[in-house]
Amino acid sequence: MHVLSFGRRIFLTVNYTVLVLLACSCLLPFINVLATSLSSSPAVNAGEVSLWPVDFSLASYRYIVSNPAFVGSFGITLERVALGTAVNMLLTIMLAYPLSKDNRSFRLRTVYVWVFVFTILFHGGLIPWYMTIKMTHLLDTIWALILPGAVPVFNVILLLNFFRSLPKELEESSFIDGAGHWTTMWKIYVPISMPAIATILLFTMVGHWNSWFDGLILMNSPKHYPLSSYLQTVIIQMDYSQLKQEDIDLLAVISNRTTKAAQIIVGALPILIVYPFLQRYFVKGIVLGSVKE
Amino acid sequence: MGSKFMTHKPVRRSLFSDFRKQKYLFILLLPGTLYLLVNNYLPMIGTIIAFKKVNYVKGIFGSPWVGFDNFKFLFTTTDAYVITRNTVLYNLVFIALGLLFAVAFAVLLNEIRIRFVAKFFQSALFFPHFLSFVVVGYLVYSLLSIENGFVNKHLLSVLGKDPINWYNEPNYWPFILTSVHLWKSVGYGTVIYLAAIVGVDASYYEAALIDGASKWKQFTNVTLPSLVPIITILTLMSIGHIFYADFGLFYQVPLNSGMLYPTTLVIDTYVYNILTSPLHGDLGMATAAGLYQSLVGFVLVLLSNGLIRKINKENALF
Repeated sequence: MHVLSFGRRIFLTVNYTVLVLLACSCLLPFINVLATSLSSSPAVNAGEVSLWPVDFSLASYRYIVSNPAFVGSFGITLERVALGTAVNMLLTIMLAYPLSKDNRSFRLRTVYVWVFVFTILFHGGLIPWYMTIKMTHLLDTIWALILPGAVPVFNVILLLNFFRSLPKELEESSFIDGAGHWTTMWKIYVPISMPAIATILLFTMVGHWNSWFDGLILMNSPKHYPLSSYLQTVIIQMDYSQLKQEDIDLLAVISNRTTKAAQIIVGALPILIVYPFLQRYFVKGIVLGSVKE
Repeated sequence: MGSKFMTHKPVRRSLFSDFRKQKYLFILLLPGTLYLLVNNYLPMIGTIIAFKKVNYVKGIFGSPWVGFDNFKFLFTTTDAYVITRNTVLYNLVFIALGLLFAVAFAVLLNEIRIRFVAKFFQSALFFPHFLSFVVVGYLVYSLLSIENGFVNKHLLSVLGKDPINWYNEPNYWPFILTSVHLWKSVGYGTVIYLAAIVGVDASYYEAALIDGASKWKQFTNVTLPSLVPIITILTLMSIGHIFYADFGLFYQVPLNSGMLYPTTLVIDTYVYNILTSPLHGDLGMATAAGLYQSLVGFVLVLLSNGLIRKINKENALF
């Protein structure tokens, strides 16, 4: 390795310092929450916990796992991620395939693409949207978390562009072998587009897991909240007024702060787990999305 | 591929078989289209609420028409000015600083030659993007809370200053919200610009080195010019969305604290607050505010797309 010049060494030192500070600012707040969730309540209240658990304890996790509201909302989130992702992906593929045909083999394609793109450009706003969901009687059902976002037009365009980049001969040879559109789509287009589909799938799942606004506004009863919406309400609660007597006894080991921290960690857990492994898909996905065609 | 087949095929393909095949394409499109009609086009019709005086007994369709009264009323309040100003100014600052930091960090990351270390930094920077604003709101709260917040308890007390009740002081929030936004989103921009920088033809840099260009000269004369197209496109796209605010950021991070409204209320949170207020507030006026946002937003997207088209047709959305 050749010797670095003085200026270069200074630059690298500064560069590493800046990047290390940045990385810390991105990771440390979260590590602090993790440490808080794993510490005992007196240590947390005394402000002793920074980045490492003090008086290691799983009491907060045991408490939230026995909390029906938390467990219920966790179940709803699992349900919405599974159902919602399935519906999203099915519709995205079913729309992207016909819209990826050229105008010769699908005459009204341009009109159709416009019908879809227009929904990105203009929408009625929150209140008419809410009224529509109310009118279709979806409020307070799991479908309110799935149907309003069932067609992610942006993903349809992503996949459509991917399909268009595939050679036309694939489709032609499939038709010659006697396959129809349905078979061609599932047996040829989908398997060959797995990289793009996997990326969209990941974004969709993360989106469903993290989304809290729809639950908050479309569910009248908190027992129908998905996890993220439930967490939203938990964070705003700052008092102990809703605790029952048996909870107060628990406060010796756990506190509002440790349980909040534990719930936040569980709320972000799946993403924490998949993130390191799947990061490259995410990166690919956003690069794919920012550079059209 | 059987060439015998192919020579005959184009002639044999009749209009009828075309239609037969297209029929299946339509069937594939049907569920998604029906869905869009209900979920996206029906609310567009629903914007008529903006021209009505909503009466709960008579229902939306039975409520009386009031023409542009809701809009007139909206624009005579100071709310309209405050929410427009906040939405647009925050977005402008976000666009400018977001661009600056994302490009800077991408260039810095590109200088790290050890692959593993570079990957680690990129992952760390990109990480906040995947946290929901509920989690981010909690992280900010654990920094700023009056009783236990890190800033009050550890920073200000060490400096000998009085604790600050952050959630009651609107003056600080332009800085707080801007920092939180950058913290959460700069990693995303960095990834995009880094991909663009890595894609620059290495021979440009070799040529620059032969000419004796310093690192800084290489940046201004090679890296930056190659980034200009993607910077232009992404910036114009963001300008097209300047009338839309990030609801999670403006609602969840200030915890919707009423004291902070002068510097945190944006069009999106304004409409939401009216909808969810116990008495439902003035729905007609809130719908009018939403429609005002949609219409101006629509015009801005068209304008920015037109500009993108002029610069590079390939990159235009339509």
